[in-house]
Amino acid sequence: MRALGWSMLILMIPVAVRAEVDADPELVESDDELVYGEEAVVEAPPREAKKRTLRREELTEVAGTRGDAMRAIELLPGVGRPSDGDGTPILRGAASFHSLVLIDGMTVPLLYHFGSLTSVVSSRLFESVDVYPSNFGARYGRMSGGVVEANLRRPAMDGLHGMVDVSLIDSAALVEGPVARDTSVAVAARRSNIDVYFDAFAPDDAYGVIAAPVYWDYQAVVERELSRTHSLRAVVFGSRDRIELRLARPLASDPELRGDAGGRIEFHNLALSSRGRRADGGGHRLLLGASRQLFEQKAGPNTAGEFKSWELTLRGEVTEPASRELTLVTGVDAKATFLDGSYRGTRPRQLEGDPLLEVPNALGPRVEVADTLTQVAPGAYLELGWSASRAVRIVPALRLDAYFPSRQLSVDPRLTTRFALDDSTALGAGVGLYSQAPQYYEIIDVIGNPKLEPERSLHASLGVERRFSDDLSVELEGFAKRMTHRVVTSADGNAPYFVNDGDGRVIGAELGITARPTADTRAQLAYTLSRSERRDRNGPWRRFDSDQTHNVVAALHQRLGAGFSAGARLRVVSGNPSTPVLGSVYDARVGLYRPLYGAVGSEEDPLFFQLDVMVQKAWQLGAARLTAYLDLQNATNAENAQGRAYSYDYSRSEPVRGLPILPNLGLRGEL
Amino acid sequence: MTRRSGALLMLATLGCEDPLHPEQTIEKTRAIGARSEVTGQPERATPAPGESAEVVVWLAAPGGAPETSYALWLCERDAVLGDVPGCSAPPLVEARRDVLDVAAPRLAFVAPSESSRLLLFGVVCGAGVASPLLQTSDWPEAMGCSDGHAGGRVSFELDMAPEVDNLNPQLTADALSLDGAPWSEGSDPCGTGPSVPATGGKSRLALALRDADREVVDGVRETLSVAAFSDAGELGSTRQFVEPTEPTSPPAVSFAWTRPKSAPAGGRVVRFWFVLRDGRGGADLAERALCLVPAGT
Repeated sequence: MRALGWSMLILMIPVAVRAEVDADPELVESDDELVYGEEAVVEAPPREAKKRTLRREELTEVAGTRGDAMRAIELLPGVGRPSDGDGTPILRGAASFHSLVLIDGMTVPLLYHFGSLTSVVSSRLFESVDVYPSNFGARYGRMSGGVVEANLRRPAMDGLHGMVDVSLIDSAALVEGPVARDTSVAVAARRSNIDVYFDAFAPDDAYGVIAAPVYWDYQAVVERELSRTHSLRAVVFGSRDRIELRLARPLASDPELRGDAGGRIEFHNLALSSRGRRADGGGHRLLLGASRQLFEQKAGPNTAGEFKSWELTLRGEVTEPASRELTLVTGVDAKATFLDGSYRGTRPRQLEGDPLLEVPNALGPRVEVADTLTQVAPGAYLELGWSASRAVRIVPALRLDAYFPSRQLSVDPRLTTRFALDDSTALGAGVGLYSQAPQYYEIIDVIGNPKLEPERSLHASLGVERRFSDDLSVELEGFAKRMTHRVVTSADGNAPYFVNDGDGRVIGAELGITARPTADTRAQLAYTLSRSERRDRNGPWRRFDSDQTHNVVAALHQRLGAGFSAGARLRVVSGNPSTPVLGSVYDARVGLYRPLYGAVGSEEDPLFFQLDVMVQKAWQLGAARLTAYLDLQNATNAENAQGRAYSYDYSRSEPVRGLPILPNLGLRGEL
Repeated sequence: MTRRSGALLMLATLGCEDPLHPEQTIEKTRAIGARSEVTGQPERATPAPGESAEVVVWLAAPGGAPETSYALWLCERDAVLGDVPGCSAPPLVEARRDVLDVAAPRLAFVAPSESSRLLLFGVVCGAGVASPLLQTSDWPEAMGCSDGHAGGRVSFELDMAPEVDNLNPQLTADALSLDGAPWSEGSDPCGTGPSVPATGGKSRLALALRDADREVVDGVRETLSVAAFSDAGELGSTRQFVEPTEPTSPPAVSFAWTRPKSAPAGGRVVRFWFVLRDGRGGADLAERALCLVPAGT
């Protein structure tokens, strides 16, 4: 069970160690005359080779997501199926820790409560979620995979609204409305209900419950419109997950896991932003952010960690049209992290492609470290939007990032082009360099290598989009990546512990079809064909841990009348690679068997098949609306084996089944 | 040991024992531990350069001591962290037995002058002969037995004095009790006892440990662990620990053992093995047996 101990540590490591601010492409780069107002939507020339957006109405009606907007992105091409218990997105063959997830411009240390239950921000507050699977623009940096950005909406100005939602999983409430002529506020909170019945299902001969699993989160948004072209926004949001158990006996597969085990993950974010836009397409965006993050973990007497950090974010962006054809975007981006932490347990290893992460803690080399770390990462970028003609747009960009205390610098040129073949068909292409700082613990002297360089990645993509009608659109895109300087564990596991001796390559193609055959029907189909490989220390190429050759997702949502609606989602995905165990060695000093692994990623889990179904019925009661819903995940109770569980000596094994059928019944009232 | 996942909620699934093959049940011949002793000073686990020492590998099998052949080697341990330990140089010593015998595998050696950590490694075979070590890199994948089976690959890392001074902990003759009664080593439990009825009920197996075995290293007491095995019935857990902070003096641990629900008319001998470790390479073994008799006799 070393996997658990380590994965818990991973939970302490910020999913993305940077925060950024979005610049609204609809407003800062349009060649067209902007029409301001609540209803105005102006399609602007893109700054990225591929941006896929799920809008508000699509976010909370996807079967199998329990209305969770962040899970809805799994409908999109290029988004891989995350493992159970680790819901962070896999974008075009990139590891989750290589992709950036932003919520209204701020990073969060965890995206989902307890790994995958539900995202840490109420989906009812989202306006949209943008996904840049690769080739993202220069405004995003210090990350080498892709970007997911969830945008909070402006609180309602048309009167007081409220929402109460109670389900088996959690209870949530939201209140919003205007507080002045130009100011509106939204406040939301949620708490899990699992602890109410957790004891009833807990095997009392296995552990005692000190603190049943509980999560809560909160959000508050205040937005003031200073003028029709200038607004201020303050956002506060936070979250906490906590569980504490007392194990009745040492775990057989890893006796290091005994006694008290549990953890807490907590964060509180504050962001102040100003957004201005002018009729000529110019404008500004400024964000000041602060984040407090607290992590505690205990997995037996010899594995524990405690981390506390402050993160400060500053970003400003100015857009100036130089002419009707040229737009210049300049931005600065700085982030400072102040970390104070301690850890004792098994020595950290590379996060991906290392089967030794699965070896019991009792057999791993141990380390104890207590340290403070200050990281400062200033960055700046310049982007030129050039409309060479009405059909051709070219966006060259350059991003510079510096990294302290490692004193590294990355220079990332990027280029995006778009060519409109006609009013309904467009070609898009992009190529660019991307850099990412090592994870923070990888540069701590006692357990890492302070001289690590940033990881690099070259992205390229070429695609075509065609809108056959207002009801049917199709997109097809090919992509490739080449990674260098990947951080991997040193060959013998000794100092400098981590080295830049890994590389990787990804190639693939995506097909996306969106159809609205009737006003009450919405259908989506996404297919991704890809191959994502890694090479460690000049060894043989191997498949990436979450390489999924085929990924098919189909979703349908239908309004049935009389307040009824139904939805379904079907996922058919190639199994993840796995590493075979060829034998074992009995370690007589410890009294446990060590597995002997075959080639990393040389086997594959069975095909993943999951059908999710959602049904809801709404009643309009005057100004109020009452909705009852049932969300049924894995409706066919497919086994969906994910990895194998081994006997103590690795002589026998059996598949580990995925989540069984999981119903969530709830009631939601809205005003 | 499933794939890495990132959920604290995973904790809720802990505590479930291995459903495939309980570790604490001896169903086949296998190693259950090893002990290093300095010649003439068996309480010392870490030899100094030039001292003679011996490592013995403890085996367990249903029905008692198994017949085995083996090949063991001793080398200087390499510096690789995390993976199966290997050698930094060719082996210093080899011990081999090509005929099947009930005597435990063992390797005698003189501690080298320039090493801080040694590695004993090899193969124990229940049939056939252990394969030769043609080159150090044969370990461990290419090691096996002549009958085609991989055999029981074994490794044991051994520290050396003066860098590490360690004493073997000791399970004394009166350390064990069965349901509160002293439980001594006997060769004929169905003749002289103890006996327990085959009712499917539980018995309590208790071990009284010595406080002196909790050596203090860098201001912290050693963590003692006891692993228990049986060839019938079901032990409630494989291991119990005495943590450094445990105040009980002298320390003690116990195991719940669920008795089988049936036994032959003449009774059945059930064997138990208890391996005491100090977490730094020191160890001791105690074997006990009892007679399982039909309920009501």
